[in-house]
Amino acid sequence: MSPNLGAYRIVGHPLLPERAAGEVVRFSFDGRELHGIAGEPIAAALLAHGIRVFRTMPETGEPRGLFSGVGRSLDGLMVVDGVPNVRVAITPLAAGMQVRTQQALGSWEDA
Amino acid sequence: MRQVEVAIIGAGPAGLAAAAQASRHGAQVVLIDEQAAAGGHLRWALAAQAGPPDEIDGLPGFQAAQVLADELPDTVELLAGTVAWGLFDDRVIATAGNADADQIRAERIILATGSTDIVWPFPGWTLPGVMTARAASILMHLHRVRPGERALIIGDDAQLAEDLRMSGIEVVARVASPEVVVAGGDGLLEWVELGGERHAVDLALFALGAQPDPELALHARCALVYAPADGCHLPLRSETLETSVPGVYVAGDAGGICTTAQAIAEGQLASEAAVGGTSVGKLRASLTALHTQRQTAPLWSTGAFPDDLVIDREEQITAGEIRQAISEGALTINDVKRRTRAGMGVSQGIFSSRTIAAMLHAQAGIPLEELAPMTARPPARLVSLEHMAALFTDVLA
Repeated sequence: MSPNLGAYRIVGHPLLPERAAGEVVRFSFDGRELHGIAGEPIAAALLAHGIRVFRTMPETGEPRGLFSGVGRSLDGLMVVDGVPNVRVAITPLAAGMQVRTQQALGSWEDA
Repeated sequence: MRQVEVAIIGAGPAGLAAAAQASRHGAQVVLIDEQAAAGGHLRWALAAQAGPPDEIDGLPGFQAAQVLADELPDTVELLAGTVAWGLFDDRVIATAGNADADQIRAERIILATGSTDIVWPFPGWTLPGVMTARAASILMHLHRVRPGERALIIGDDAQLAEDLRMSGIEVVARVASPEVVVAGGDGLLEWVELGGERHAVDLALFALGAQPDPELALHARCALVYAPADGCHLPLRSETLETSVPGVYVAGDAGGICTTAQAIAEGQLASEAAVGGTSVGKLRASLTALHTQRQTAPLWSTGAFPDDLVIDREEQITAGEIRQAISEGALTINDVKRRTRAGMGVSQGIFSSRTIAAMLHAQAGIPLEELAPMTARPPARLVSLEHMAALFTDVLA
């Protein structure tokens, strides 16, 4: 069975050329094993699986997701391999990455 | 610290044109871009572009980006995936890549840092699923991912509607103004109300146009002037696009939203002037020939903002807090920042300054022309202390 890259992938765009198949890698989101494409932004890999909440805010606990798409807002900050405040809109996905929802300002966790 | 002749920040159409122009004169050029590849916002655009140059005329944006990137001379050093996070005295630029940090002292700097999308607060606008049109376009066109299935478009953008349909996303509604939107959902965007009518959506996109993003020019403390067509202050530029800080130029959208052809012409002109070339007059004439008349930027109402509406997303500062600061005497955007923390986060008010200016204008009657941007300070992006500390190894050694 081919790996599940998520239900939100666009296949057969009417204008854009087909892309070379990227290298499929495994990563985890909050402990859940998922597949994505190496080198795509972590945010794209998550949204492909319909995962839209990336962090919560200090004090209010309000959920946030991708906003600027270019790493310009701080709504797309997550804990990646134990490092908090990683801008997932512009950080490439790599095999074995452990991605976690960031709570408030985040904390350093065991990688 | 490295020394270069010309450093160009931003590898969109203006930056690429500037790099090619300087390189033609044999100058040593470094071209820096935060994105993974050169091409700027054209990389994720499907709209047909208009030349000059002829080789991009009629091409969809993503193909034009490829043509321009392919034309970049080998002699230009392209630092992609690298953030220029500070511009200091004596034209020193601080950079951070994925693995390393550096300082570059340049004889001439051309800032071609492009734009960000204009946003405007409405109830529910911080819910996941509300994002800029740019974010959606990057996902759909660069990464082939649908950010949702049912979309509201906020703004008059027929191209975006077509782009969404081509990616299999249903356009549920389009509104011209953000003032009429109310959104809600349980931890995620689930619905919008427009004129009392509720629609199920999981995506709401700001398509209100772009605003220039010349933040590094502000680090250099260059003189600013209000630009009615952009609805904000921008670096004052000479006939050759030089700012009031000698040797620092601004080209492309960062100096005022422009067409691709204008951005390329600006990049060429700034670069020619920066290297002391002899074609400045000719390039100036080419740019002038591309002149287009632009309308005054729209100014939406702030009066109906509920007091608990978040205006600054990052610091979570509400309309009520900003109104109170103004009623207590705040007269400038910096005043509001000091009293409320709005804009003190790393994004430095990029998505709230326009709204705060409009609130000061409406409540205190201050003309927009007098509302200068808040003071911008390094770092312009989130940078690790490790990267910053690396800059001082020269000093400590």
